[in-house]
Amino acid sequence: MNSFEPTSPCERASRQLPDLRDGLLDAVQAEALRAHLEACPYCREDQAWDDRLRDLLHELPLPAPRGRFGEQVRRRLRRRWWWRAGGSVAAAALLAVGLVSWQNWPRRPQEPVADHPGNPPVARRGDELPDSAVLFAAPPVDSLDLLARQQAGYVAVLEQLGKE
Amino acid sequence: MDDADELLRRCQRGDASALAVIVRLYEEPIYRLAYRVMGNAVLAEEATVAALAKIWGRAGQWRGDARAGTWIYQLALRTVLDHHRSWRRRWRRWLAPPRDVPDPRPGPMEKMAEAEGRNLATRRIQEAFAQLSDTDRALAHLYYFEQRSLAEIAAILGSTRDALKTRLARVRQKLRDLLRDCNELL
Repeated sequence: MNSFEPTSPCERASRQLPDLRDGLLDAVQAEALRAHLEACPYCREDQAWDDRLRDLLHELPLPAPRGRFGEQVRRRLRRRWWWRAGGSVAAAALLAVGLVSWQNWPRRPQEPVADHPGNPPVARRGDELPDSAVLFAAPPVDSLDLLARQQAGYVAVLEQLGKE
Repeated sequence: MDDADELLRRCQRGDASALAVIVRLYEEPIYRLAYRVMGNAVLAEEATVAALAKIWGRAGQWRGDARAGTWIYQLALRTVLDHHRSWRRRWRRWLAPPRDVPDPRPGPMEKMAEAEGRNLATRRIQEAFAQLSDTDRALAHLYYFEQRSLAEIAAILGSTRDALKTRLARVRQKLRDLLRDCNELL
């Protein structure tokens, strides 16, 4: 069922003309439409205009293409392929240059990070007394400096206890 | 199975000879459609080449839901409309303003031309045709010139038969109004 409901026989006939042309009307509908076209001068004129329009479009000049398009299509596809290939190579080169630059970029020395239970102990100046977390943390095997400072810390604490 | 279906399947497999056959089969209809929409031979040629090249690039997107011929037309029409739109956008500043409906009274030039009544009629039809939108020109071309069914045109334009019927009636009426004054020439 069409969403459009014609309001008059002429309107219905006008909408059925393409159906008649496409062979979508059954025999009864086609006959009814033909009968209407016979009887209605307005619709007859409408159909005549439709036929005339078809003839007019066929009569309009339509210049022939200047040549075959095969070679032009091939050339266009080839150009597109080169553009894509060139683009990919350029992108890869740019990425490589970026990576190399990033790896060789001079970095500033990092500031010591504040002590945190999760962080490994950081290097401190010799005159500072390490706090208890550092004192009693398991010493990293590769840090002789830290071991020495831990030992100095123990001594300082014992001395203070001895004074008290 | 349709020939075009098989050709498009071969394109999907990367068979360049199938594209050559498609180009041979469709270059003229696509060019005619492009010329009708754009009204310029050079632009129509450019758009035709772009559309034919797109068939190769997008063949993989065809799933076989529509007939290959319909799919090719759909792609071609979209390319032509895009091409025309971008061309107009690029040159909008330098383009002449759209033409008004020509004065129906015959001027001196037209009186001379009336000796060759067909020339004048042709010019009037072209001017009337130029007043339609791109899509309406494509619709009129596919329906009246290519004699395609409304169902097929609906698939090409991405519309419905019902919507196209209404649109076609509007196009027909508009052309009738524009050409009313030169009925004797037609």
